[in-house]
Amino acid sequence: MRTALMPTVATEIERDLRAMVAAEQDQGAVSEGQSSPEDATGWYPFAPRDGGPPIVPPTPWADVDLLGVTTAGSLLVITFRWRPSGQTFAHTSDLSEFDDEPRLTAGIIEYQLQRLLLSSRWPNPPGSLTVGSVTVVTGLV
Amino acid sequence: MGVESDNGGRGHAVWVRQGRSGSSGFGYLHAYVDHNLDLHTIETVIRNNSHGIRQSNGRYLYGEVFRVKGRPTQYVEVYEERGRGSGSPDKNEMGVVTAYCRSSSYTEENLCPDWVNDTL
Repeated sequence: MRTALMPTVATEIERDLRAMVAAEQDQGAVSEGQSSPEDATGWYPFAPRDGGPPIVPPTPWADVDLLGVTTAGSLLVITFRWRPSGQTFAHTSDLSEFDDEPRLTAGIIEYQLQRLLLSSRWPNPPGSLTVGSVTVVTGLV
Repeated sequence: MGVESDNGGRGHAVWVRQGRSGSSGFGYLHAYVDHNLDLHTIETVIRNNSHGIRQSNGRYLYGEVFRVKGRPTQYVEVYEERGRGSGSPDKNEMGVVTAYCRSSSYTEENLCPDWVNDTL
Protein backbone atom coordinates (compact mmCIF):
# COMPACT_ATOMS: atom_id res chain seq x y z
CA MET A 1 0.00 0.00 0.00
CA ARG A 2 1.17 3.49 -0.83
CA THR A 3 2.13 5.65 2.14
CA ALA A 4 -0.37 8.34 1.19
CA LEU A 5 -3.27 5.91 1.73
CA MET A 6 -2.20 4.69 5.17
CA PRO A 7 -3.85 7.49 7.22
CA THR A 8 -7.11 6.68 5.44
CA VAL A 9 -6.93 3.12 6.72
CA ALA A 10 -6.33 4.35 10.26
CA THR A 11 -9.29 6.72 10.01
CA GLU A 12 -11.59 4.01 8.67
CA ILE A 13 -10.56 1.51 11.34
CA GLU A 14 -10.97 4.03 14.16
CA ARG A 15 -14.44 4.98 12.92
CA ASP A 16 -15.49 1.32 12.50
CA LEU A 17 -14.11 0.16 15.84
CA ARG A 18 -15.63 3.05 17.78
CA ALA A 19 -19.00 2.27 16.19
CA MET A 20 -18.74 -1.45 16.95
CA VAL A 21 -17.56 -0.87 20.53
CA ALA A 22 -20.34 1.65 21.15
CA ALA A 23 -22.98 -0.65 19.66
CA GLU A 24 -21.88 -3.65 21.72
CA GLN A 25 -21.49 -1.75 24.96
CA ASP A 26 -24.97 -0.25 24.51
CA GLN A 27 -26.23 -3.83 24.49
CA GLY A 28 -24.19 -4.56 27.60
CA ALA A 29 -22.71 -7.95 26.79
CA VAL A 30 -20.95 -10.07 24.22
CA SER A 31 -23.59 -10.83 21.62
CA GLU A 32 -24.32 -13.65 19.25
CA GLY A 33 -26.50 -13.32 16.23
CA GLN A 34 -27.69 -9.84 17.10
CA SER A 35 -26.57 -7.99 13.98
CA SER A 36 -27.62 -8.63 10.44
CA PRO A 37 -25.34 -11.01 8.48
CA GLU A 38 -25.66 -8.69 5.51
CA ASP A 39 -23.84 -5.95 7.44
CA ALA A 40 -21.15 -8.09 9.01
CA THR A 41 -17.48 -8.53 8.10
CA GLY A 42 -16.08 -12.01 7.64
CA TRP A 43 -16.09 -15.17 5.51
CA TYR A 44 -19.36 -16.72 4.39
CA PRO A 45 -19.70 -20.09 2.64
CA PHE A 46 -21.72 -20.31 -0.56
CA ALA A 47 -23.70 -23.20 0.94
CA PRO A 48 -23.93 -22.72 4.72
CA ARG A 49 -23.74 -25.97 6.67
CA ASP A 50 -27.19 -25.81 8.24
CA GLY A 51 -28.81 -24.72 5.02
CA GLY A 52 -29.92 -21.48 6.65
CA PRO A 53 -28.50 -17.99 6.67
CA PRO A 54 -24.87 -17.46 7.75
CA ILE A 55 -24.33 -17.44 11.50
CA VAL A 56 -23.02 -14.17 12.89
CA PRO A 57 -20.25 -15.10 15.33
CA PRO A 58 -19.94 -13.56 18.77
CA THR A 59 -17.95 -10.34 18.95
CA PRO A 60 -15.51 -9.14 21.59
CA TRP A 61 -16.24 -5.43 21.33
CA ALA A 62 -18.21 -5.15 24.58
CA ASP A 63 -14.95 -6.00 26.37
CA VAL A 64 -12.80 -3.39 24.60
CA ASP A 65 -12.13 0.30 25.19
CA LEU A 66 -10.53 1.78 22.07
CA LEU A 67 -7.73 4.17 22.99
CA GLY A 68 -6.52 5.12 19.54
CA VAL A 69 -5.51 4.14 16.01
CA THR A 70 -2.31 5.67 14.63
CA THR A 71 0.34 5.09 12.00
CA ALA A 72 4.10 5.16 12.51
CA GLY A 73 5.81 4.76 9.17
CA SER A 74 4.04 1.82 7.56
CA LEU A 75 3.02 0.42 10.95
CA LEU A 76 -0.62 0.72 11.96
CA VAL A 77 -1.05 0.63 15.73
CA ILE A 78 -4.42 -0.02 17.40
CA THR A 79 -4.25 0.69 21.12
CA PHE A 80 -7.00 -0.60 23.36
CA ARG A 81 -7.83 -1.64 26.91
CA TRP A 82 -9.10 -5.16 27.56
CA ARG A 83 -11.84 -4.54 30.10
CA PRO A 84 -11.80 -7.88 31.94
CA SER A 85 -8.15 -7.48 32.96
CA GLY A 86 -7.71 -3.71 32.61
CA GLN A 87 -4.53 -4.30 30.60
CA THR A 88 -3.58 -2.04 27.71
CA PHE A 89 -2.57 -3.65 24.41
CA ALA A 90 -1.32 -2.45 21.04
CA HIS A 91 -2.09 -4.52 17.95
CA THR A 92 0.24 -3.80 15.04
CA SER A 93 -0.05 -4.38 11.29
CA ASP A 94 2.43 -3.55 8.52
CA LEU A 95 0.38 -1.65 5.94
CA SER A 96 3.09 -1.96 3.30
CA GLU A 97 2.03 -5.60 2.93
CA PHE A 98 -1.48 -4.65 1.76
CA ASP A 99 -2.82 -3.57 -1.63
CA ASP A 100 -3.97 -0.01 -2.36
CA GLU A 101 -7.49 -0.65 -1.10
CA PRO A 102 -8.09 1.17 2.21
CA ARG A 103 -11.63 -0.14 2.72
CA LEU A 104 -10.63 -3.76 2.18
CA THR A 105 -7.48 -3.37 4.27
CA ALA A 106 -9.46 -1.87 7.15
CA GLY A 107 -11.92 -4.75 7.02
CA ILE A 108 -9.17 -7.36 7.03
CA ILE A 109 -7.35 -5.81 9.99
CA GLU A 110 -10.57 -5.43 11.98
CA TYR A 111 -11.39 -9.06 11.25
CA GLN A 112 -7.91 -10.21 12.32
CA LEU A 113 -8.14 -8.26 15.57
CA GLN A 114 -11.59 -9.69 16.25
CA ARG A 115 -10.34 -13.23 15.69
CA LEU A 116 -7.43 -12.60 18.01
CA LEU A 117 -9.65 -11.24 20.77
CA LEU A 118 -12.01 -14.20 20.49
CA SER A 119 -9.24 -16.80 20.59
CA SER A 120 -9.10 -19.12 23.56
CA ARG A 121 -5.55 -18.01 24.34
CA TRP A 122 -6.39 -14.35 24.65
CA PRO A 123 -5.25 -12.24 26.51
CA ASN A 124 -1.91 -14.07 26.53
CA PRO A 125 -1.29 -14.70 22.84
CA PRO A 126 2.09 -15.93 21.67
CA GLY A 127 4.22 -13.05 20.47
CA SER A 128 2.98 -10.51 22.98
CA LEU A 129 5.60 -8.20 24.42
CA THR A 130 5.20 -5.85 27.38
CA VAL A 131 6.77 -2.42 26.91
CA GLY A 132 6.16 -0.21 29.92
CA SER A 133 2.45 -0.31 30.57
CA VAL A 134 1.56 -1.36 27.03
CA THR A 135 1.57 -4.92 25.74
CA VAL A 136 2.40 -5.08 22.07
CA VAL A 137 0.64 -7.91 20.30
CA THR A 138 2.25 -9.09 17.10
CA GLY A 139 0.70 -11.36 14.51
CA LEU A 140 -2.25 -13.65 14.91
CA VAL A 141 -2.98 -16.59 17.16
CA MET B 1 -3.35 -37.04 -1.29
CA GLY B 2 -5.80 -35.91 1.36
CA VAL B 3 -9.53 -36.19 1.81
CA GLU B 4 -11.74 -33.55 3.38
CA SER B 5 -15.47 -33.99 3.89
CA ASP B 6 -17.95 -31.17 3.40
CA ASN B 7 -20.71 -30.23 5.86
CA GLY B 8 -18.35 -29.87 8.81
CA GLY B 9 -16.48 -33.08 8.08
CA ARG B 10 -19.64 -35.21 8.04
CA GLY B 11 -20.68 -35.03 4.41
CA HIS B 12 -19.33 -35.92 0.99
CA ALA B 13 -15.59 -36.73 0.90
CA VAL B 14 -13.60 -34.52 -1.48
CA TRP B 15 -10.25 -35.80 -2.68
CA VAL B 16 -7.37 -33.33 -2.78
CA ARG B 17 -4.62 -34.91 -4.83
CA GLN B 18 -1.05 -33.63 -4.86
CA GLY B 19 -1.51 -32.97 -8.59
CA ARG B 20 0.83 -30.71 -10.50
CA SER B 21 1.25 -27.05 -11.40
CA GLY B 22 1.22 -25.44 -14.82
CA SER B 23 -1.20 -25.14 -17.72
CA SER B 24 -2.35 -28.75 -17.37
CA GLY B 25 -2.20 -28.57 -13.61
CA PHE B 26 -4.71 -29.88 -11.10
CA GLY B 27 -5.02 -30.59 -7.41
CA TYR B 28 -3.11 -29.05 -4.56
CA LEU B 29 0.04 -28.07 -6.46
CA HIS B 30 -2.00 -26.28 -9.11
CA ALA B 31 -3.90 -24.33 -6.44
CA TYR B 32 -0.79 -23.56 -4.40
CA VAL B 33 1.83 -22.80 -7.05
CA ASP B 34 -0.41 -21.23 -9.68
CA HIS B 35 -3.01 -19.53 -7.44
CA ASN B 36 -1.31 -19.14 -4.02
CA LEU B 37 -3.97 -21.11 -2.17
CA ASP B 38 -2.79 -23.19 0.80
CA LEU B 39 -4.01 -26.74 1.44
CA HIS B 40 -5.60 -25.82 4.75
CA THR B 41 -7.56 -23.05 3.04
CA ILE B 42 -8.94 -25.48 0.45
CA GLU B 43 -9.89 -27.90 3.22
CA THR B 44 -11.58 -25.17 5.25
CA VAL B 45 -13.68 -24.04 2.31
CA ILE B 46 -14.84 -27.61 1.69
CA ARG B 47 -15.58 -28.24 5.37
CA ASN B 48 -17.51 -24.98 5.81
CA ASN B 49 -19.97 -25.71 3.01
CA SER B 50 -22.89 -28.08 3.41
CA HIS B 51 -22.45 -29.36 -0.16
CA GLY B 52 -20.88 -28.63 -3.49
CA ILE B 53 -22.95 -26.67 -5.97
CA ARG B 54 -23.28 -28.57 -9.25
CA GLN B 55 -22.05 -26.63 -12.28
CA SER B 56 -23.13 -26.92 -15.91
CA ASN B 57 -19.95 -28.83 -16.75
CA GLY B 58 -20.69 -31.44 -14.07
CA ARG B 59 -18.12 -30.20 -11.60
CA TYR B 60 -19.00 -29.10 -8.08
CA LEU B 61 -18.23 -25.69 -6.62
CA TYR B 62 -17.29 -24.99 -3.02
CA GLY B 63 -16.81 -21.34 -2.24
CA GLU B 64 -16.62 -18.62 0.35
CA VAL B 65 -17.00 -14.87 0.07
CA PHE B 66 -15.33 -12.31 2.34
CA ARG B 67 -17.71 -9.45 3.12
CA VAL B 68 -16.62 -6.11 4.55
CA LYS B 69 -19.63 -4.61 6.31
CA GLY B 70 -21.79 -6.67 4.03
CA ARG B 71 -20.04 -5.80 0.76
CA PRO B 72 -18.42 -8.74 -1.08
CA THR B 73 -14.73 -8.03 -1.57
CA GLN B 74 -13.07 -11.38 -2.19
CA TYR B 75 -14.14 -14.82 -3.34
CA VAL B 76 -12.43 -18.20 -2.97
CA GLU B 77 -13.61 -21.03 -5.18
CA VAL B 78 -12.71 -24.73 -5.17
CA TYR B 79 -13.87 -26.97 -8.01
CA GLU B 80 -14.25 -30.72 -7.62
CA GLU B 81 -14.51 -33.34 -10.37
CA ARG B 82 -16.32 -36.39 -9.06
CA GLY B 83 -15.54 -38.50 -12.11
CA ARG B 84 -12.12 -39.68 -13.26
CA GLY B 85 -11.66 -36.69 -15.56
CA SER B 86 -9.16 -36.71 -18.39
CA GLY B 87 -6.08 -36.42 -16.24
CA SER B 88 -6.83 -38.76 -13.39
CA PRO B 89 -3.67 -40.78 -12.72
CA ASP B 90 -5.64 -43.82 -11.54
CA LYS B 91 -9.14 -45.32 -11.72
CA ASN B 92 -10.46 -43.16 -8.93
CA GLU B 93 -12.14 -39.79 -8.98
CA MET B 94 -10.16 -36.69 -9.84
CA GLY B 95 -11.17 -34.65 -6.80
CA VAL B 96 -10.15 -31.00 -6.65
CA VAL B 97 -9.19 -29.87 -10.14
CA THR B 98 -8.58 -26.21 -9.41
CA ALA B 99 -9.00 -23.57 -6.76
CA TYR B 100 -8.48 -19.84 -7.02
CA CYS B 101 -9.60 -16.41 -5.92
CA ARG B 102 -11.77 -13.81 -7.57
CA SER B 103 -11.77 -10.16 -6.61
CA SER B 104 -14.92 -8.17 -5.84
CA SER B 105 -15.71 -7.63 -9.52
CA TYR B 106 -15.88 -11.43 -9.96
CA THR B 107 -14.54 -11.13 -13.49
CA GLU B 108 -11.32 -13.12 -13.51
CA GLU B 109 -9.32 -15.73 -11.66
CA ASN B 110 -6.68 -14.14 -9.46
CA LEU B 111 -3.72 -15.15 -7.37
CA CYS B 112 -5.02 -15.35 -3.83
CA PRO B 113 -3.68 -12.63 -1.53
CA ASP B 114 -1.80 -13.96 1.51
CA TRP B 115 -4.46 -12.66 3.88
CA VAL B 116 -6.92 -15.17 2.45
CA ASN B 117 -4.75 -18.03 3.68
CA ASP B 118 -4.22 -16.24 6.99
CA THR B 119 -7.91 -15.80 7.77
CA LEU B 120 -9.54 -18.99 6.53
